[in-house]
Amino acid sequence: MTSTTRDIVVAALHKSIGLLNDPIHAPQILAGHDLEFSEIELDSLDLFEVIMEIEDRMGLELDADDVAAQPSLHALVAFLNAAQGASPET
Amino acid sequence: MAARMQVVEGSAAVGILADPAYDVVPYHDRVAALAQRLGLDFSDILYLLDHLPLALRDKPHAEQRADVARLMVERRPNMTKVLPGLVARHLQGLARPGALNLLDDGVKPLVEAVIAELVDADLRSTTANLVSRVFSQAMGVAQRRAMNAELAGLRRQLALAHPGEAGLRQGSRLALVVLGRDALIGTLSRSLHAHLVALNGQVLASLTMPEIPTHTGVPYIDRELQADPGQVARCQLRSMEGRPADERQRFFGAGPHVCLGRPLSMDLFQQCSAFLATLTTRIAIDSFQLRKDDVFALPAHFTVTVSP
Repeated sequence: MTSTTRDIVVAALHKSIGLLNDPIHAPQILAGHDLEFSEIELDSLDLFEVIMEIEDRMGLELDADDVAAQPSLHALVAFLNAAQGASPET
Repeated sequence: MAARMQVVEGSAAVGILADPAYDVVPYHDRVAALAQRLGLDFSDILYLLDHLPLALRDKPHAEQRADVARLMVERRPNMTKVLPGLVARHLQGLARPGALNLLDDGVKPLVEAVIAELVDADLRSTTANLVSRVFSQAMGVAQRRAMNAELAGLRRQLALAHPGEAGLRQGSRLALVVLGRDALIGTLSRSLHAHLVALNGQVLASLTMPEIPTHTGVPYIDRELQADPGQVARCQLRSMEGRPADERQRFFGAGPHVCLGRPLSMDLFQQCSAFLATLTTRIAIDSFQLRKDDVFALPAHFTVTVSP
């Protein structure tokens, strides 16, 4: 099965900060809800780890500022889809 | 620790640059932490940061800066000799009617030729599109990998030109390539653009291009407060744009890290100004747009049409 952009971002966040081990946010994420990044701890090194994972999986070159400017999971997915020239996921 | 940023302009920016309470941002530590966290080889980036005076403090800074200064003094007689010819060769398109890509077929090859002469190495087979972004906080990981590869290529080419050379001097040559190229391309392009706007279609010889750059390719310099690591002052050099010539000299900074390339830059601008004053063509700007870059201010494209 092909991973969606959302799957890739969630996997990157899990790899970097163990997002899916978080008892508060994991159920929301797995239910397809949005996540405000202000609700999670993501320092600058975490951010670069997430970026590297996304770049490697999606074949993109990203600027950290652009990624850091996205306030939420859905916003980041929309940004990445636009960067890849893909249609927004439903 | 996350950086806290204070933006300062004009004389306040100059004051901070000259204030010993502030020093350069610890770029090396940031990149080393990133390389360790990501498990990536950024050794060529770290080598550069170990030899870039603008990234060094205390004794390492003094030693590397002294060597860069020695190299520039050694090369100055040759630079004085070759600059007029390089300027005439690379800006000759402004004398010929027709369309001209002034960035790619004028300013950029001129600056690259100047830098190659300065470090006494043929760098035409190398790529250096990313290396000046070594100070970037915005660059992602893929581009940092590419930057490391570009730096490895530059180091190989410099080693070929100067076999057996190591230590300070090899680092000085690399530092000049990295710091000089985009700073000069940006400063010359932006000042040339402003001059063409000021000419407003009059013949080039009718107005002398200022010998002190009117605009800078180095929009800011960051400094960290030594007593409070993480407190960063962003000193806006571009705030000197539009000021009198003596204030625009501050484009080159102030204090212990003042730009060592100032004399060469001034020589280059003097030669460009003198050359343009000999031309009787008129220039219309077709396009000019700065590229997306969080470190240097330089155009993505700069095209003109030359007419008699």
